[in-house]
Amino acid sequence: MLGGVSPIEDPRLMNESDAETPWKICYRELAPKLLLFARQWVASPADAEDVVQAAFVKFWQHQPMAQPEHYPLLYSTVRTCALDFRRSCERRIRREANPDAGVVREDTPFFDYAVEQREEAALVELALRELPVEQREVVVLRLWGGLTFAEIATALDQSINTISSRYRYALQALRRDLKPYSNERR
Amino acid sequence: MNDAEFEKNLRQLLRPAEPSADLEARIRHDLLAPDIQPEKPAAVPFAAASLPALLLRLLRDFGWACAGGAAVLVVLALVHGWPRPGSEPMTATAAATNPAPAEAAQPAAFEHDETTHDLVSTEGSDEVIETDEGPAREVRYSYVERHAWSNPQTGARVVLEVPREDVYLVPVSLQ
Repeated sequence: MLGGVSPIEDPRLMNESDAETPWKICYRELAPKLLLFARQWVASPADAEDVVQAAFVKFWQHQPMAQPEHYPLLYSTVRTCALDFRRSCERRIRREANPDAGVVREDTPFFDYAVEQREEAALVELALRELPVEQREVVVLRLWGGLTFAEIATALDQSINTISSRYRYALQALRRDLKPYSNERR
Repeated sequence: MNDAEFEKNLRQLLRPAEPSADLEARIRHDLLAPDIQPEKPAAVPFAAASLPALLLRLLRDFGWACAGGAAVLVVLALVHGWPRPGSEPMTATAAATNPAPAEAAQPAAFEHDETTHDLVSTEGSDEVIETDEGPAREVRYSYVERHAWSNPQTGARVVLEVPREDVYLVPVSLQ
C-alpha cells in the first residue's frame, strides 16, 4: 500500500465535504476513458461500469495517496478486472451450456456519437473494432486515454518499442480501412 | 493528411461515453465502506464479525476438517483404548519439557502374561548317526509355543502362537 495508509484512515478519502478529494478528481478526469478502455473486453456499458467500479475501488484502496503519475496502473487494474470479468462470464456460459449467449455483444457502441456525425463515427468505430485487440487497446489508450507510449507500456506491461509498433500498425490499418470513405467525402 | 491530423480527427469524431450517474456514488460507497462487500465475505475482518457469525463461519470453513479429525481420534481411541480417569494425562507442554523414554510415551502398555509349550508330537529317525559320544539317533520334538500379553487398563489380550521344533540326538545305548 502506498504510504501505508488505509483508505478508511486517509482523510483525503474520508472528508466528503471536500469535493476535491483525490479519488474524485481522478474519477472525473478518467471515468469515461476507463469505461472506454474496459469496453474493449466486456459486453455492455453496464458490465464496463461494474469493471471500472471494481478496479477503481481496488486501486484506491491499495494506493490512497496515488498521484497522476500512478494513473497508468489504474488502467492496468481495469484491464485485469475486465479480463477476470470476461473469464468468469465465459465459465458461466460454459457451465450453463448456453451457446447462444455470447460474451461480447458487438452491437453496443463504444462511443457517444454526435448526431450530425453519426454515420461517419459509426464507420470509424467499425474500423476500430476490426483491429486486433492488442493494437486496439494501444490506440484507445493513446488517442482517448491521452497516455504517452511510456505510460501505455507501463499499463500493459510491454516494452515501449512494442507499444509504438502496435500503434503504428493500428494507424496504418485505420487509414487503409477508412480511405474509401475519405475519398467518397471529397 | 499527416498522422497528427488523422489522430485529431479521430479524437473529435469519437468521444468516450460518459458513465451513468450512479457509478460515482457506488464507488464512493465501496471506498468508504469497504467491509460491505457481499460478494467477498472473506474480506470482513474477524474482529468486526459477531461471535455467532464467527462460529458459523468457522463451522462452514473447517467443518469437514474437524469431522475428519474427530473420526481419526475415535479410531485411535478404539484401537488404543480410552484413558482411565485415574491416569495422569500427559500434556503437550509436559511432554516437550520432560522428554521421557520411548517406552514411557506408549499410550497403552501391554504386559507379558505367560509363555507355554505344548508338545504336539515326537518323531524318531531310524538312521543312526556316529557322534563323538557314540552312535545316536535324531528325535524331533514338535511344540506349539503360546505367548500371551494383556493390557491391565483395558483388559485387552494378545495371544501369539508359534510352531517350534527341537531336534535331540539320543544315544542308541540308552534305548
